[in-house]
Amino acid sequence: MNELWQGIIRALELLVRFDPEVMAITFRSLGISTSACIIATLVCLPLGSLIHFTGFKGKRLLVSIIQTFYSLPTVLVGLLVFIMFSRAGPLGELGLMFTPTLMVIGQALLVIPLMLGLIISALSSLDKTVADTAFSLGASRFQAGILALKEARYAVITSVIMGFGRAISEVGLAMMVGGNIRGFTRTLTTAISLETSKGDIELSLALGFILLIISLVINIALSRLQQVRTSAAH
Amino acid sequence: MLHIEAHSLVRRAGTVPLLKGISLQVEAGDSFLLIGPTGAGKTTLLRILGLLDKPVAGNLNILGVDVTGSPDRHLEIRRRMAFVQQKPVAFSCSVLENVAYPLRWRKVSKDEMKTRALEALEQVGMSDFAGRNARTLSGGETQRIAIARALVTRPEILLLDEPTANLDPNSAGKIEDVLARVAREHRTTLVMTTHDLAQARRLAGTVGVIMGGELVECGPSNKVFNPPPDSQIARFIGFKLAEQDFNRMV
Amino acid sequence: MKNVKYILLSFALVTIMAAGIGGCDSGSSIIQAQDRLRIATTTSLYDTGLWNALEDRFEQEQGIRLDILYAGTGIALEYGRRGDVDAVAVHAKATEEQFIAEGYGIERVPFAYNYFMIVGPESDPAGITGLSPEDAFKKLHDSQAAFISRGDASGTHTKEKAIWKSAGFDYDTVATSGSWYVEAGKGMGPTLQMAAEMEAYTLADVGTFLAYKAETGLVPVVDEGAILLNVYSIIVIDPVTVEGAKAEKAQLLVDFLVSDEIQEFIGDYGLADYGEPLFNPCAGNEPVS
Repeated sequence: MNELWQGIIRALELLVRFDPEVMAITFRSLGISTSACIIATLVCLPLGSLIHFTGFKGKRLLVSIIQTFYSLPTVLVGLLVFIMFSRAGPLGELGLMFTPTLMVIGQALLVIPLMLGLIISALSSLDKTVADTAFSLGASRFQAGILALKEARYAVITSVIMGFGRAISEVGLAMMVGGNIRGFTRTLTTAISLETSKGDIELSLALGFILLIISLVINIALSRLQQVRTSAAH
Repeated sequence: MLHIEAHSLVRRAGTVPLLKGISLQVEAGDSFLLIGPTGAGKTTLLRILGLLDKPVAGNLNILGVDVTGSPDRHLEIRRRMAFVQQKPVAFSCSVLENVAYPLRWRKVSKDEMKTRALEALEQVGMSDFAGRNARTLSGGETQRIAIARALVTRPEILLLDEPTANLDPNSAGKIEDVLARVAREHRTTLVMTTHDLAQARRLAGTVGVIMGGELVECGPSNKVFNPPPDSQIARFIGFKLAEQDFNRMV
Repeated sequence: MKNVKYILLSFALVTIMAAGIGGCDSGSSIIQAQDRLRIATTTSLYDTGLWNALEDRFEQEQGIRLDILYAGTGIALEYGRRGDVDAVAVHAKATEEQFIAEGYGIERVPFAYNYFMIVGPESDPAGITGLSPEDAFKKLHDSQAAFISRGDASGTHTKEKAIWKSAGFDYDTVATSGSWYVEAGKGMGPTLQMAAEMEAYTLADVGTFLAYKAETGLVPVVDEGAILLNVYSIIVIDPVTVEGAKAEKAQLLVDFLVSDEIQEFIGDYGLADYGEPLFNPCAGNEPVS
């Protein structure tokens, strides 16, 4: 209990003093996960729209598969990315192993199934009449897709934020693919796992606090969006 | 010239037949009214004519182009038509933006969009609502802006699914005037479904009667409304007219 | 009004991205990733903090960014084989020589050494104080006293296996002989903590042990025996076998480590904090105990 209390105090100290390493780690985490999220969004918005509006055989199967990948263990995705991008692997030429860039790519891959599934779900919950109205008034498929995304915007934004949440809180992939290198690829989650295993609980707690605050902000944003959504529906 | 030419259109929902081989022709500038009991297939047929659904069998020519294949490939044709849904949906923006949307898709300039949208709102008597959030409108108001949204594109073919269903008699009358004027002044082809036989009589050039997925009667208005007394249609029309008289009395 | 919000939001996002990927503290960027020197190091070297101390000096003196990966000897060598690191610094002589024989490494350059010790609870329940390492292990096995093994193909684990073998045991039999023998699968520091928690014995290098002594409260019970010699070497990955290995840069690190200045630094490391140095320098030569 004393350890926890000491940890809390030291954590607050580090935060208040804007300890440079803590700040660096925080910004790095935010930067990597945000970038991954942006890439995933750019992929999932058109792809989700396309999948939703196209009827094809096996569509339901595809959506099922996507949903299965929602909670794929991060270490598994990490392992696959590692094997692909290791110098000994097929994409080794790129020399991306243990760099933040690869972490961005890896997290984007991790998050894409989740975001894709949620966006498709968001579009599905739209009144069918919206798409019909658009088509029957001369919208091209692309234009109808954009309209649908706009009409479902709160659900879509929620999907993006949930994707971000998954990215920033994962540790398995960041560890395997980033290497937790001090000053280069160390993120909030990997630093916590290292510091905890080395016994520096206090630093872990400080970083844990920050992660908690980030999670809180995310959750507040999500619930505000939900409120706006329900009131907009009326 | 024939604006719409349909041969033996068939549509099914699973194994249940909805349309059992409908053939019809609509001349340019004609007002074609589709009447029939609920569930007869009016909306189903209208959706096929509006290129929203694909028939399982049959041919369809619109504005001289064979569109039987894939409805969503014929963007150019779709852009010369406009459709008003039975229960129209407003997009989540202002009324003016709603009405202007089809023009956005056609890359019309901002100024022209605004002018034309305001014109269309004027036509349906909703000018005061321009700045309102379109999702806050009543059913009747939504229906009117949906009509404005369709009119704004100056379509060659205008398809409407029970456009005055949610309107009070006064507004309904105004809309009928708008539709009649549009048909007359712009030679717009109208294809409309309705439950209101009196309306059909007022507006129609040609009437089509659908029953059980079949087009049992199709012809000039006056001919359809004076059917042989013992026919199925006579019973339908008679019953409906009686119902409407009854409603007016009460 | 809405537009302004979007602009601000995008700006904030771009800034965060730039800061994040840029790595705002080290001022490096992705583009320069190719010029970074990567070394995988054994956990016992890392947990003592020696690498952190050396890293900054090397980066400043040579102007090369050094990336240090924390991994057990087994994993470190695997990274080396794959070419994901340019050098490895580990402490398992036989495994290293095998690694070089297979062509993955150029040569083995020892740069520091210390000794392993068997450490355990102050009360020494198994009564092994002062015994030889082999006798101590025998007694631990016979009395089924709690023992934590690294269990991770690290240098320490390799040494542990060597001691079991020297004491006449078959390692696999020992490892599965009962619940007294625990495989931690963790680094040296965490393993020491686990031993402290469970009041068990474990094999540890003196460096890491001293660094964690205060927290764990464990004491050395057996610290004499030729077999306990623990030599840390650095191996440059051979670019002929492993494509893309930055051997030239790695060689700079080797030269750095065996330089007089750094050897002295290594020899003094830990003196101030722990009262005795954690390592002994050996300047490229294999130490004789």
